[in-house]
Amino acid sequence: MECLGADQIYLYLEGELNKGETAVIKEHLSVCPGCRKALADSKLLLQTASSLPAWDVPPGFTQQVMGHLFPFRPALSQVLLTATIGSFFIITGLLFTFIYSGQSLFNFLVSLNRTIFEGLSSLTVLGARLIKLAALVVKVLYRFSGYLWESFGRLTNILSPEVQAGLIIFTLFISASLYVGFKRKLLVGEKR
Amino acid sequence: MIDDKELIHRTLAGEKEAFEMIIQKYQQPLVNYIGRTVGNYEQALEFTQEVFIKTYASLHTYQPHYKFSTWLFKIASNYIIDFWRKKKIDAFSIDQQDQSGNKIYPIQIADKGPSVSKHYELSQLREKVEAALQKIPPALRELFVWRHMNDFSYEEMAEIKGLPVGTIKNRVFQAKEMIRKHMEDF
Repeated sequence: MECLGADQIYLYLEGELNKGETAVIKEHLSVCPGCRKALADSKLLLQTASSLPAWDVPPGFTQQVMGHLFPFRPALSQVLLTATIGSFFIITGLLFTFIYSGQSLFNFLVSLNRTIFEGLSSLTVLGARLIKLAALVVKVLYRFSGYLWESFGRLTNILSPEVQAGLIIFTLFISASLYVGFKRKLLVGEKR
Repeated sequence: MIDDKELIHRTLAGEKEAFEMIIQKYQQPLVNYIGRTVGNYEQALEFTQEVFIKTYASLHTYQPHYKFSTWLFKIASNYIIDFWRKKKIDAFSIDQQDQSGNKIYPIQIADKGPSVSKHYELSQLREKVEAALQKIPPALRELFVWRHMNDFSYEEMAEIKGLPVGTIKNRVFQAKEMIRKHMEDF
């Protein structure tokens, strides 16, 4: 018998051959040192591969996947329960305050209402004042821009087009000069 | 242990805990398979999660005459193939050469050259197998991992891939030979 194919060796190692094939291979291995060495080599490879440590799954991975599959949505009963418990604590707190303050329940509720009302009314007054101030600023700016526009209109009626053009050029020149002047002033001491 | 089909039946009936048990049962083999196939731990966890989400979404299409693990790994395999396609990784041309340009080996007489074991310790051998595994074509790597790390039978692998058993055996053999050759080169 000629030497074993590499595929035969692997299938033999994995127990994938029938009894007849297995017997023939065993017989050949008993007389062929080369194939025995190849067998040992292949066996080592498969054993090493099978013994590789498994990749770890981090703790909480299952919960993470479940969290993606079923995002938490509180049921209506849970919401109602939370609201009931919350209300209970608020009422209990109010009762304790009432007992320790020594006031009658009526007076306590009146003072509580008054405090809330005063706080709200102060905030309302402050808001109203701010709105009034903003309205005043807008009014002044509007009037000022109106006067400016009117003056400019009157001036263009008095002056001839040539003088107007001259004034525009003069204004532009002054603006450019100021711009260049400021720039130089700012660059003093810097390398050119 | 509760049977997979029973767990699926319960999940479809609205019992979330049943699917949680499925996740607990298969998360380790899936992370192991996906991790070793794509070669990245973070991606392995992300892909495993996506595979479970896809599985849950299509659980109503599961046909009980299939083995559940086969169906689950088919979903995982398709997910990885999609990933390779998007990344334009050539995982499919396994008949010509591997990633290093080495030719894939035809079935041949057993190699009696230098031993892959030489005088290495087991830990060193493991490192070499891991390194060699990442050098072979992804499609062969996947089959090798299934066979020798997930302990799938050739018949199960053939069912997952929709290929004849002989083809699968030949490809797993090619994977082993390539790994062995790479180990000789190290």
